[in-house]
Amino acid sequence: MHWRKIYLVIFIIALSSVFSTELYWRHLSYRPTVVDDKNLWSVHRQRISDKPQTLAVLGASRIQLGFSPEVFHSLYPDWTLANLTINANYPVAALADLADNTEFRGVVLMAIDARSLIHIFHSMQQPWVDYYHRDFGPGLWLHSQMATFKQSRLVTANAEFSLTRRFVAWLGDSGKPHVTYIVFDRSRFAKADYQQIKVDYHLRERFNAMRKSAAEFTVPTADEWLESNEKLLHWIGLIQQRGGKVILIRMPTNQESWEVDEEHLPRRDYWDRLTGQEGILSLHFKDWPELDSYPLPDGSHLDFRDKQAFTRDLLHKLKERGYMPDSTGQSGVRQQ
Amino acid sequence: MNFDSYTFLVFWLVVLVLYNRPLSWSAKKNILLGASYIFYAAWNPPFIILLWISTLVDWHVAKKMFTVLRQRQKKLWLGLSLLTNLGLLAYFKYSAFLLENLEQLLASAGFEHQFPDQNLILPIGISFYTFQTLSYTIDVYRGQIKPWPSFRDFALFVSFFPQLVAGPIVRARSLLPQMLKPPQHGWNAIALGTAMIILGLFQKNVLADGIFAPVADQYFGMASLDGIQAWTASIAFAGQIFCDFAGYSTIAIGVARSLGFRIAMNFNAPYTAIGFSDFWRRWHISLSKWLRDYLYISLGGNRRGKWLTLRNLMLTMLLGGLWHGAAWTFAAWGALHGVFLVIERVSINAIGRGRLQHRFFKPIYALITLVAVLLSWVLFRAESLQQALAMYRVMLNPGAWTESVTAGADQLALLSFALLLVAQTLFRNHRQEVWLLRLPWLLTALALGAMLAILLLSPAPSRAFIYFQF
Repeated sequence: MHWRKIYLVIFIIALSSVFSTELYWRHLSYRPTVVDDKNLWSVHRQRISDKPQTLAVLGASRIQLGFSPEVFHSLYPDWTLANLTINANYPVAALADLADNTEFRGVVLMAIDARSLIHIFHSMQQPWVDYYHRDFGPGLWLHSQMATFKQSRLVTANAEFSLTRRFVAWLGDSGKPHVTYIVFDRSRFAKADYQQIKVDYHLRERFNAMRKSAAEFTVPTADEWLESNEKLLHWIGLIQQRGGKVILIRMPTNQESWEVDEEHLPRRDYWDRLTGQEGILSLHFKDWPELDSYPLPDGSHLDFRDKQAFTRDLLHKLKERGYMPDSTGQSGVRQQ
Repeated sequence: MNFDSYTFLVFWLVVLVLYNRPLSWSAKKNILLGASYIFYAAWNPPFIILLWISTLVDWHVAKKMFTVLRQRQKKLWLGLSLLTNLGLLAYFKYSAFLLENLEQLLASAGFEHQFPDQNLILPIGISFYTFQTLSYTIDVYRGQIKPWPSFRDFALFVSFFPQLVAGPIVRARSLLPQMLKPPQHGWNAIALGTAMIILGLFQKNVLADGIFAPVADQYFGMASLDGIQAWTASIAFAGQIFCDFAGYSTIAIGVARSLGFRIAMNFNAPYTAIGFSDFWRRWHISLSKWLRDYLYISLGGNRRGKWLTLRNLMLTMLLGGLWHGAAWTFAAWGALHGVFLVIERVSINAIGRGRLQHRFFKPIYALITLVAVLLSWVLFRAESLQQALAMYRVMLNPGAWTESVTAGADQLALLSFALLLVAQTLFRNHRQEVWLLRLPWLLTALALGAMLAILLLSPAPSRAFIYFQF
């Protein structure tokens, strides 16, 4: 059998195909991005240990796009950062998981709003938690490291560009993939470049969807809502009894989004009643003009150009309120 | 450790490098044993203890059965092996199912009782290695083989990583003799093994995950379906489960081949089967043979008259169905295949095998078999018996076939399934490694090159092999 010749031909075909396809997509302005999946979430979850200098960031897209790990590490170089945020999924299940972990006594930065604490959303992140405990192991850890390495370098490593998916799209005449304005990296935090898209169009779409959803959705009364969040307070208590901290953060939204929220889940009836309880650490963007001053191109997310300054402001406020210790890094001075 | 992961790629390359160093055969087997345990522990390290328990118990049981003289003592030792292995399997795989059904039974009798949620993790591959190690003790009990003299070889037989977690289920008499002397390995074995791995990965990642799974997932996830959509779902799942499992088996055989070991093929063009017994000679061959040798024959096989033969067929298929998973859908799937086999057996008895195999009737019978198998996959994939029944209602009622296949993904899945049937017809009864070696070298190179290129350019969201859950 002519194995040498066979493998020579195999590698020529395979490598030239990958190389030419990669060049094609890049020529069309597509860029590599890490695929944020359950394995990568589990890699971050595995960073949770008994080390008190651990910051676990919980939440959905607002903090995923608004928090800069670079700034955090420059201010707190000795700390471990575990990014447990999940786009479009609210974080109560992840908090419960950290509360169940009797070793954990670090700091939890949990970005939420009143909507995300409605009981029907409590288990949204449970599939990730279950995956970590039931399926994730050393083998998938290594796989995730290597897959992430490849995805951050090759457009063709992203399932959106797979030949089968493109072929199906071609059969259905649905065109090329959207040029993504959000790029993930290994930190699982993302950078949104709103200059790449027609923001007005997206904004309108978002608000239409938001208003429709808010109108169709039956919001629980404040008393029902508070009652359903007793478990949340219990989990916060468990972490804080061990010496950890849980800081509830309300990330900024623009005036129009704020008005929709106030119409359905007014701050004084929901947020203030929860965070007014004893032992609850919280920070609301409306209380701090600096945090409320950032432009939010789509109404609730920061452009990547602002996330470093925002993170500095946020950490500065947390430090000021005594929620975070003094930073030991060199970039601790707030930059204007 | 998944075969389609980068972790496995690194692991396999390291094993190949170590294995091909100029070491003694004993040292190489030690490397394989260590590698097998690392392979298993890479998923969830504590569960390797279960593998060790099975290994130790069956090693000692086999030795004891061989030395005791009285049949009753032999039976007791065999009982210990069955109790340990099937006990672990039952506890991890079936206890939640049994308790859930017991709760429902009690509730229907007016007793409300809720058992605590056990929330057990199913140890990966437990159904496979349990059957593999049981075959050894049963063979020793029956006097078909002697206890193997080397514990290390036996431990390697139980844990041999290429087929540890999803088969093929290899028999002791097939694998253990290969450990007596170094098999032929080196570049030719690695080249052939790698070619089979490319072929298997193409089946798994491109065909199963990239083409068939999205269509099957979409339709099986819908609340109600039109007849055409239900048939499309069934065909897509037929393609998915074949390419997923046959792909895994091909990779397993290829990895073993790269180390110089030979493992028998697990699939032989099953969708071209002519009849249901033929289907089971071609689908998951190692499990079919296991069920035949250790269950069907133990129940009496066809030696105790017509009715008991039919009962044994039904029981074997029912338990075979339950082996796949603790759910009534799997039991029903097994029972349905039992019914197919019973009808076939009764027909053969009535009209004679020759007429059924007549050349004019063969294509019709092959089509009947394929359609029946497609219908049976609905039970296998459905979330509940209710969902399966709802799908059957529209599949078997041409009046409910109103939609047409317009979605690109559906068209690609149906086209791919048709091509799969053509390929199975062309390569019927040929081992993959044989036709890989017989094709002109340039054709082999072009085909494998195209497969590798498509594979590299078709990343899909990670999906575990379907049979890992069994």
